[in-house]
Amino acid sequence: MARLIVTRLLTLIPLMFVITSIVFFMVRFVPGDPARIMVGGQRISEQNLANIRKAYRLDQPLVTQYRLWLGDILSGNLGRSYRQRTEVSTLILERLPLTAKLAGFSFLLSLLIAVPLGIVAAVHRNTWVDVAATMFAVLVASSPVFFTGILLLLLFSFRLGWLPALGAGEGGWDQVRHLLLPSLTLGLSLAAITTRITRSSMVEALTQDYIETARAKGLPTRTVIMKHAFRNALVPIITVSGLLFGFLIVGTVLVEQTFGLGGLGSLLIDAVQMRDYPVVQGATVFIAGIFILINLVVDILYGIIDPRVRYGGQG
Amino acid sequence: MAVEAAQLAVAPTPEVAHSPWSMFWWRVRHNAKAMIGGAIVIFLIAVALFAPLIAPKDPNIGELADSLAPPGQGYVLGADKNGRDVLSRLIFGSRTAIGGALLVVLISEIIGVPIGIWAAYRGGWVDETITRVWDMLLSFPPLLLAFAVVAAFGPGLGKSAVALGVLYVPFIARVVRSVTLVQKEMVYTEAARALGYGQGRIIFRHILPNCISPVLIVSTIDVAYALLDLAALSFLGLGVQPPTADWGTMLSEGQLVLLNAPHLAVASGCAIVLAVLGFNLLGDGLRDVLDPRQAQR
Amino acid sequence: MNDPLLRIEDLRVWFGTRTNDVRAVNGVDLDIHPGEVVGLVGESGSGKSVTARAIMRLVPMPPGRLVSGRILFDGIDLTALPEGEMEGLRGGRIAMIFQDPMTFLNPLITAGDQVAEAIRRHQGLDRRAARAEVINLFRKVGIPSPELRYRAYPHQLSGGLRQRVMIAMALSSRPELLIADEPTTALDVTIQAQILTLLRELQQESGMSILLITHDLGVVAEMCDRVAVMYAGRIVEQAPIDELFDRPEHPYTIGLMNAIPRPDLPGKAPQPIEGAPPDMAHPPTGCPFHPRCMFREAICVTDDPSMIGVGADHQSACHFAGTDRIRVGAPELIGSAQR
Repeated sequence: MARLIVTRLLTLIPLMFVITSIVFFMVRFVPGDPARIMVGGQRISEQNLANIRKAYRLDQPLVTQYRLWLGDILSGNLGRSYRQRTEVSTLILERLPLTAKLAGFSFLLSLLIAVPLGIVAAVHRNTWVDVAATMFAVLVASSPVFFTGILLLLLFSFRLGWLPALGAGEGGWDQVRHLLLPSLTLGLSLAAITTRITRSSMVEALTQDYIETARAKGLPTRTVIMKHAFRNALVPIITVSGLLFGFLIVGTVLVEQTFGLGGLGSLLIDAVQMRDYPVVQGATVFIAGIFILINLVVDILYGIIDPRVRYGGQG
Repeated sequence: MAVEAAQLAVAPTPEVAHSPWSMFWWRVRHNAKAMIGGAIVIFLIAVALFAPLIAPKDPNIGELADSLAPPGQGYVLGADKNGRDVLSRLIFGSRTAIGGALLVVLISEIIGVPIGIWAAYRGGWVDETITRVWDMLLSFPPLLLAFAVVAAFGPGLGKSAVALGVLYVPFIARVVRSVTLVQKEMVYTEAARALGYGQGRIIFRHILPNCISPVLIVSTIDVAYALLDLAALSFLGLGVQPPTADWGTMLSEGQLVLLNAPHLAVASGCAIVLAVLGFNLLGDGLRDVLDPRQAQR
Repeated sequence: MNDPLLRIEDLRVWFGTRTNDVRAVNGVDLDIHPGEVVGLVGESGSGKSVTARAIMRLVPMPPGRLVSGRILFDGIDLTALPEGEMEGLRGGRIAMIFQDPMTFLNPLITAGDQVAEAIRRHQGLDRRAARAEVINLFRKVGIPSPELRYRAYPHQLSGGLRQRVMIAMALSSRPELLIADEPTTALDVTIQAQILTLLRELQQESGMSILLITHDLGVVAEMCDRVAVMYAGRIVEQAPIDELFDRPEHPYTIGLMNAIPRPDLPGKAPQPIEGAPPDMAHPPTGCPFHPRCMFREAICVTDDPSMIGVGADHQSACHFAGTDRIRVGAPELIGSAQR
């Protein structure tokens, strides 16, 4: 188990390195003066440009810049926004709670939809239930998150008037009401993927020999499906959950934009649109860090579920 | 037991086997996903090619008096804020949407195929490093890195397509590498080498032909992903820039007037869904047809 | 003889495909008496495993389909039993062990818990009592340091130990009938012998009946009281063990015996039966064995032979059963058939 975590760290830390390098060097390779790009083509005096160069260390050699920047990141300093004159980390921490809630609710909703649907489809393979579940999954997966969101908005806010259309609401219950539609949107899109994965890994698990043993023991069908098949089906589901998390991150960005939520995603997109590069860099690095953390948690979960991983033995 | 049952449910085969091509067509004709997906894809490509002939109106000239006109009354799918015909803009928008997605995949193929072959051929640390890097990139959502590219280079369809194309390279390269590894070890390649054929000839005669069907499958599905990613960039205002007609851009314009004129967002959204669905179904169907073993998993 | 514990009558289980039915089991009749060990022998694809699973009602339906027949267990027709009651019998009065103890044990649950699950299901013991019982059983089936093995996962056990866990699981509710589907096929030769010895000891101790499914006549010779030979979905010959080895009355049985390596007869190489088992989606006309039979006559192509008695408790489904024709066909074998 410890070995597993160490080997995973050995791939995840380089990933962090690659991503930070990409976001760092990207702006430096753009033709033209990085300082001018940072101010986004506004009129500005030479003196101010020089100040910016100094503030962002653009006057120093590239390698030195990179080294200093990496050092800053490691000490938790993500730099200063040019437009907002605030620390990037402050901006991120302000926006994080909303995005975390959105992502959490969405993930929960997607599980509530996908797991039962996937199991039922696998157990009743090749019946109308299975066909319907598969069609749902394919159709929703083909719809961009923001379009799914717009359709739900049209139905639940404009037509039925049940839920508020925009904004994050004010604390407590109001916020839950405001986040319901965005979470349902993202949850549905995520469920389209997880339903297919759950179904196929359940189908796989249900055809395994040990299912026959469980039935031969006289266990009721429910126990066979949940205890023997589903637990084994979880292993491949968990293996791809890193991918799901990537989908979830991009999803929050798009959903926040659709429903006018001021979360981390909006911060990132606004920064991209205004070419506020320190914020883009900082947010991307921060998201990559969370991404890596989640992947580690997933690996630990993987070990808890599968003893073959935990004990390092071969299957 | 499970094996027996699986064997009983084997896919149908033609009664009389002919050439590989007629075999391929027979299978495609009996695969609903491939047929439906193929029909949608051919339809959309035809629309994109013949846009000027099909479009009822000029997509870029509007009657301000007809701003946000609902469907009907001379506008089949209504008009947008500038009074431009939505149907005509959708028809022309297929060019940027599908053309852009195809461009993304083409770029990823042009870079990915040689890299895949090179990694498999060189082996050793080259292979090790390349696969490490793309394994890492595969786990990270391409769209997120595309944001960083746009932030640096500015918005636009061309830049977005190039950025996504580069980020999609691992999808193609991974497949090509594994095909090459298998082919490299195959007996006939050994024989070809023994006969004194050059590496180039082996690559062109043996390896590339065997890459065609797996690359075709992956590319088709990648087009669906590219459509979604490009639409997302345009929706966020980072991809295709107005006034060029594009589905993602239309959708984001439609979102602003959702309360008064939902037809704009719904029409452009449905166009995206149709295209993504078409390429998804075609990709799935092709996998069933060309690679039955993989499809059963 | 007293009433059979298990009586199978005209069992037919077919599998539906798009075009044709595959007649996996196509008219099996078989009795198993209390305390009797019956071997069911045949090549793979002959329908042995489907027959065994039909008794346990573990054939997936669809694609499987019960076309005809009854399975009477202690007078109860299993084919008509409600699923709930069948669950009570499975792993209770009828238990089953399988071929590959690796794939047939759940990799995510400890060996002990998998056995305890069966005990708790059928005897309603609580967790602690079930655990004690499992450890007893482990000791009984010869698993060393049972407390330690209780907590082991299947991948941490050797093949032989895994099969012992499987046997412990099957025996936990003291079944009256044990169905053993190729229980030694996946094991090393030395381990095979140990497992067979264990099964025989346990059978003698408990007096249960065993239906032993195998393609290995050597295993049959070691274990069984009576043998049924299966071909193309039906039983083609059955006889008490000595009788069958001394006087086989079906060309297929003779073929199987000729295929056994005989280290005791140097110079006699094993002769596999030529050809392949029939495609049961398109079974041959007449006797299903005729395309491969060395005694084939015109009648074999046209007429399907029925079982005829050729001795005490000995039947064969061959047009020439009981005639000299068969005995002349395999003189070498008959003279030397020893177990």
